[in-house]
Amino acid sequence: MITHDHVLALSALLFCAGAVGALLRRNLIVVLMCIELMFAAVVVALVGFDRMWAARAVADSVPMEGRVFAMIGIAVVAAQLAVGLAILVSLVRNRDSMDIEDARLLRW
Amino acid sequence: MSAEVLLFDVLAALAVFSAAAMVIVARTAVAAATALLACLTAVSGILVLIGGELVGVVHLIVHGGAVTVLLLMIVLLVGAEGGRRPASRVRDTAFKLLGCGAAVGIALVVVHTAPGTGVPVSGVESGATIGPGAASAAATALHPAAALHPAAALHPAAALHPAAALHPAAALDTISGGHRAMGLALFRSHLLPLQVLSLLLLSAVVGSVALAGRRAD
Repeated sequence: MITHDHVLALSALLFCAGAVGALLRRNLIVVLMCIELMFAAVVVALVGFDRMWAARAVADSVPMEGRVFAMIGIAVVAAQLAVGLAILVSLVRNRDSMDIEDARLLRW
Repeated sequence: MSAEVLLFDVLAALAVFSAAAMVIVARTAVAAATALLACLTAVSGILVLIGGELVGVVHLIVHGGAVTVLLLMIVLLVGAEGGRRPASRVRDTAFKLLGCGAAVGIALVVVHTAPGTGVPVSGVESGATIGPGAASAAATALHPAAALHPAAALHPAAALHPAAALHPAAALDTISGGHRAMGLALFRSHLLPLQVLSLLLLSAVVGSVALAGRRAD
């Protein structure tokens, strides 16, 4: 039996892997991929919470908010990645480097 | 250990291993994107397994398919090498693979020893675990496999509950795996967020074209 704790622990582990990668990796595009990984962990947690509430709800009201939120989040992250990749392309075009150390335009 | 738990374990191990491989092992962006694809596919399988069928399929199409291809096309455009990491040696790779395996081991230990509520997410036996009452009726009615399970049809609480039989979304939810109820929720009660979302997507596309299409002076 898969319990809610399994799902939540898996989500936390995936999120930690993504966060470590986003903080440690030097390649800009890999950092974007790690952000994507963190979001996948969030979707797993949202669907897990949705199922938890569905198991506790009364039979005539089916809660859908968790899954609807996950769907909307999927679209929002797709839009965010499109803009992020456009910024990356223009950054690489101007700086000619994918290293995150060279993207210091807004750093103090 | 039922087949469902076994499948969850395999998919979770695959997801954590490929996530760790993406973060630790992958030297090039192409290798990282491949590991990300494996991880997102496993995550979609887990989403389908725990009951978010439509979310899992959409996640696979949008993120496993479109976004990964977009990332690979950007790698193709701007060049694969980035960062100034030194070239890795064979012993380094062995240590990294060991690290990935250790991550999977830690994941399995953490997932299986996690304390807490013990609320079942899905599973046919979930109805019997919670016990009689409205909650178990909801749990069996929500699970798509419950429609095929003879015990669900014979469950006294589900049969005696008039609202479950009369509510069209709840009744069809057991047949179609929740897609109809999901569509009703998206296009009826959450119509305004959906429209705002389409506006956001449009502005994101226009913005990214304006950003990436600009000529460097």
